[in-house]
Amino acid sequence: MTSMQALSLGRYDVDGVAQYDIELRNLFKSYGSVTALEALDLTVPRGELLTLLGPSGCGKTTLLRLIAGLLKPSSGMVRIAGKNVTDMPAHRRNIGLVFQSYALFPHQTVAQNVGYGLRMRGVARNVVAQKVAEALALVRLERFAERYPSQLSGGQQQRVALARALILEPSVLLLDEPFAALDKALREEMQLEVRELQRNLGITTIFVTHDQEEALTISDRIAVMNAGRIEQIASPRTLYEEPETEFVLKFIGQSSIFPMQVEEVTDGVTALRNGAFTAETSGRDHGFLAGSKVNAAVRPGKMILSSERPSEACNCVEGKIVGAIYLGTITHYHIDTSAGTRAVVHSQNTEETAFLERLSTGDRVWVQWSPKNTLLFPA
Amino acid sequence: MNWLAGLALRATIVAILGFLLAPLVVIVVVSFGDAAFMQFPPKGLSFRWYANIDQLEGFFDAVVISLKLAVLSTVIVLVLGVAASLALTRHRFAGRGAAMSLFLSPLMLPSIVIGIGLLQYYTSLGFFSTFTALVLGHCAIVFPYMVRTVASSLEQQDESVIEASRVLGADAVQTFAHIIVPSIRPGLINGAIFAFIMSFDNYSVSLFLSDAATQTLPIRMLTYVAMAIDPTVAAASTLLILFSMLQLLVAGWLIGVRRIGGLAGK
Amino acid sequence: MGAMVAKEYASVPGLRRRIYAPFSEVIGWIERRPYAFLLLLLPSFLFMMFCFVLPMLLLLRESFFVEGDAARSFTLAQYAHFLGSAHYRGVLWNSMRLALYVTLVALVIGYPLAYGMARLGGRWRAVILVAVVSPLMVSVVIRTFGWQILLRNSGPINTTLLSLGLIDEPLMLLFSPAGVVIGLVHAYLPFMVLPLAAAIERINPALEEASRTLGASAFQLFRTVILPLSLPGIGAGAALVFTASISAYVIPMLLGGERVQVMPTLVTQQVLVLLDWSFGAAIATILTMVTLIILVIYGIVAARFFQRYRIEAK
Repeated sequence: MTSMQALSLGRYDVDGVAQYDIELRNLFKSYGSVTALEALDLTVPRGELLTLLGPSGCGKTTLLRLIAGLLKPSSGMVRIAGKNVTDMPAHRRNIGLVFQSYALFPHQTVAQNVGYGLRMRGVARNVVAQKVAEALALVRLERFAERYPSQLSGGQQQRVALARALILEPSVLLLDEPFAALDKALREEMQLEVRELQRNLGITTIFVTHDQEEALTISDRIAVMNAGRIEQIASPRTLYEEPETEFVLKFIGQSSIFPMQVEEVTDGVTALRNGAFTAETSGRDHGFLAGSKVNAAVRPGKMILSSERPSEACNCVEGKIVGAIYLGTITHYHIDTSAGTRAVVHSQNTEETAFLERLSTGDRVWVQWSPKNTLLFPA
Repeated sequence: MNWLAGLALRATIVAILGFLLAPLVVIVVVSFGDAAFMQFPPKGLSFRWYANIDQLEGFFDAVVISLKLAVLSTVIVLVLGVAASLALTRHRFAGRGAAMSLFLSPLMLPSIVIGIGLLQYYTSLGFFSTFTALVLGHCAIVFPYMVRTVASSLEQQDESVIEASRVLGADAVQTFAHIIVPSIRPGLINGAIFAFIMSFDNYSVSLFLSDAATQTLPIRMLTYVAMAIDPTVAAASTLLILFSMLQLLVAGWLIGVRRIGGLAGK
Repeated sequence: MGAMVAKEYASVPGLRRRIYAPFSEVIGWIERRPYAFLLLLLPSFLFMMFCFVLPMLLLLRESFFVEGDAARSFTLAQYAHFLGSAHYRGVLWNSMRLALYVTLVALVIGYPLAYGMARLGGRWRAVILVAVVSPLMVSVVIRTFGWQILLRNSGPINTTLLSLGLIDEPLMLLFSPAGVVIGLVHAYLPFMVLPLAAAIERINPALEEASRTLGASAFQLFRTVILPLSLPGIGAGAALVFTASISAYVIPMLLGGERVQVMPTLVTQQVLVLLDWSFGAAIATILTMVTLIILVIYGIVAARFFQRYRIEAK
């Protein structure tokens, strides 16, 4: 939360008016008795690329469609570029929206598709032609102006959809899983391209995806959504390093989770125990009372392996290797620990860890980590 | 063995296609016969029965009435059908299924029964045998076909394309004109051609609702055929077959042969 | 981006835009009313209620009153009159029997066509489709006229059979039930072929190959795989052909003449010649009931049995 406030503080104008391009207040959407979105607050500062990340059915597409005006909220307010647009129909909002299916008009050429929005606004024909040429240049499709969408590849269609949205110079750009239909290599290329375009134009953008890798690659901030709520909004790094809920922990990246009990809390250090296995956290008071049950989690890259019992007994657990997957620069180890949890350790392949290569399945190892890397969640 | 089965299948199909085309071929051939009675195969070749068509009482009047009736019914039903189909496919509401059943209900009843019901109704209203009653009657018969054709092509439409149009700044009417109409064009043409043919060939309603002044072509033809002696009726029929084939060609040219299949089947 | 698209177009709209703008406002206002779309439905709804449903209900009502009875009291006399007469029962039975024959013949003739359309592909598909659909484009009166010429005693069928010595005197084809069946099969064959072809097309060709590799002969393949999986198409086609045949008027009239009396010719006679409205309405109601019962039976069978084939056929 603190980092987010710091980020937005810098975006206040001299006269103190917040430069939010998107502002959602208490937004609620239900279909009959089914709640799609619970009273939701969200602000997106100008120029930011915010990703809505979550499993299918979490409400991220509903949220996007509420912003676009394709759905009406049951209650709450939508503000775009400082203007309340809650009751404004979609065609008045001047929003750029790129669909997962591209939604290009099959009976119109690329140039007609891109110029559609301007034509609907009654812009003079020669102006439309000029803007279309500029927009197509922006996405490097000048040569394809007279083609029909069906004559383009997936990536090209996507770029047409992007040009069609951007030509109207929208206040915000909404991207609904735009790369889901592309293959992996093309997807990565398009991610970089869109990110660069977005930065250069400085356009406030909301990006919807269920692909955590994509979210980490492209975003300024990520809002992780679950069951109609936002679990956490933060930068990719914060989400990974300091997930606030177990859902975020599990949805972004891997981790090893140990069920434990809080022994005592002193000076921000929480001591944990599970039989003979003890652990502690530092740096942050999680507010747990002694005796409460918790899940202690550690990211796979934060743990180190040793073949001999380390001197420090805390944050250290004994285990047997059940599998090792060599991936070049790193190796993934799967270890059955004496605490009952199967731990996943990502170990860098360096001189210091060369000894691990001699170990094989069934060998005994010790897993260790620093107290500051213990993440705590209520069990 | 396999090729034998294949050959047998193809031979059977050709024979059945012959059965399908036989009555039409016979009419065309007979119409060129020279004898004063219908003769098959004809002995001599003559075009005189075509020149004789104007001897058929009221033939050209009936053609005009049927054309007017068909065009008018098609236009009315097209407008009603497109509006209704838009509401039925683009909105989910209570009673949607009931509305659809209501619109398709004429398909469930024998058309002759519909004709009798309409005759009784319009007589009691006092507009027996007027052109208006005929138009309304034809519309009722043709309407379900139009709704079904247009609704099914609207259902196949990609919803996100319409949303894209809205987000790009087009209002409902602009979206309808620029996006929806072009994408359901085959369905509209299909529906319109079928509506035209249904009305042009209808006898079950016209039989009851038309009188001497408003006799439609099928009703006239029914009289001619019942009393046919010389090949004049065959000549007139040949012209009408030609007209039908022309419609088929236009339909095939506009929307492709494959799609015409959607025309048939109740 | 700011440099790329200047905002001037927003402030200086074209002439067409300025003319259209007020309309757009009105459209937008209407559109935002939650039930505005019902306006689209209203004309069709009113039309159907007043130009179809109401006339049909009045016809039904008519059948429960005796024509000319001043008191106009409710009575079942018309129905009793129909069902009590051996002649009228015979007409009903005759209609149903004819429709059944037509359905069976159409199935036997239609199956090879449908199979060819679904499986021979390419040119065959197009040719069969055009051949099946194009007679539909020609008025039924004209088609029936063609059959009249063909079926006459002096027509080509009889003259050919006579000259071949297969028969000694002309077969009575015209003005006989056989002629009516031929005409009806010809008229309604498309109703059988099109749903049937669609059903056969849905059968995964891999199933046929699987059946062949498992050792089935061509006939066994047809009996054990194709026929059962095409049952939904057969059901749909049969329901359509039966209901269409039992309601046909022109063909029985022109090809059956006085000899073949069916429900539609009977009811037309009552209304147009004898002007007995109430009895006509009762006959019309009975005819409608028969068609509706067939459609309901088809609906039940389709829901019960065909649904499971659909999953397998996928």
